Amino acid sequence: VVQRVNKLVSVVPLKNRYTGQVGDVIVGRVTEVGQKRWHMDVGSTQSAILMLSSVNLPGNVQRRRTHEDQLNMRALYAEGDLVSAEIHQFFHDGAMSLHTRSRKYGKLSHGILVQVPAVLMKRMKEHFHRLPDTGVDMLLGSNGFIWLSPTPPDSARAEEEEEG
Amino acid sequence: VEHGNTKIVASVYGPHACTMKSKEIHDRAFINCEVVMAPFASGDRKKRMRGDRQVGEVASMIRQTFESLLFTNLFPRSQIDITVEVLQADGPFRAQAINAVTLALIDAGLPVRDFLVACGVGYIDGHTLMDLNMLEDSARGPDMCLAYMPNTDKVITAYLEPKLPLEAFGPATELALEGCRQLYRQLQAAVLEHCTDLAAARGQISI
Repeated sequence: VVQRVNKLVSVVPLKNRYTGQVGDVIVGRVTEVGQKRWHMDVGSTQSAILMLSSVNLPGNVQRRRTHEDQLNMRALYAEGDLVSAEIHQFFHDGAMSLHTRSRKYGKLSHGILVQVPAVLMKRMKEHFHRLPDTGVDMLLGSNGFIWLSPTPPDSARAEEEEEG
Repeated sequence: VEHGNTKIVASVYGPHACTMKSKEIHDRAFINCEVVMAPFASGDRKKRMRGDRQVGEVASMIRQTFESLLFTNLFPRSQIDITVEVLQADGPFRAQAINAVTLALIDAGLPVRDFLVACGVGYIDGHTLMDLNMLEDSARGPDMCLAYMPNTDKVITAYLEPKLPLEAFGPATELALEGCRQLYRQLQAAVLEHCTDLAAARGQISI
């Protein structure tokens, strides 16, 4: 498909591997635990990298990562885990560098992953959605990985109390 | 692709992260090609082993052909898997396999320099024949396959086995190129139709 904006002509393919932009929220699956980094599959041309320095340590401690942290990487995220993260920057060969430096990112559990072609995902401000009547939380990753999980009952009750 | 009685399924997976780190090339994509012939594909049912040399030759030919066609430097350190499954082979299937892979690459959204069309030509008893089938192939005459880029007017791959008399080479090449041009028109129309349907369904264009 050819798009023209003033003098800029771009040919956008109809089907594509995911090419992200800095700031996109995505869901990835850990494929490998390496030296001070995790390699993740995000449906792109290369594995995305999650550096040890870009994750929050358990307990929210802020300190330099020690050798022990390196050895305990598997305790945080092991192979096969699903993690929600944000794109931090790109390496010059095109690989993505992710970070989970926020309370809303991290390991995903108790839910279902749905994979759709990344081209179909629209760019939106809000990635975390709560479907009101069905009790389902939805995380729309920009790479086409959608995470559905049940709404935690206490937060649902808290919202009801707010409204009521 | 269904080319007369020859039926071939080509699928492209990628580009994705390399499965084997040793094969990673730091500035290009690595193309992995596999050709599988179903046991019921040719006249007599024969289950082929994985390392079949004839089929492996077709695979390496496809890989070399598409290495020059794809923009591999756009995908450093990744891997593109091309799988060709021959369901029914009516004579030599090299040309049909190349056509199928071209369509699969375009469907996968991979940037290619140009369409690649291939046509097979044979020479029996002084007559040049286009697009041999199994009966004509069993005459064991020369079999030439030409892979041609129509828009840039270049031949990427030519495969000939066994020997062709020199005076017949010119007309055989001409016939192959003519066949390629005809095929190109049909393939181009099919791709355009498919893409138009897809884009219209997504609301990107209006018909």
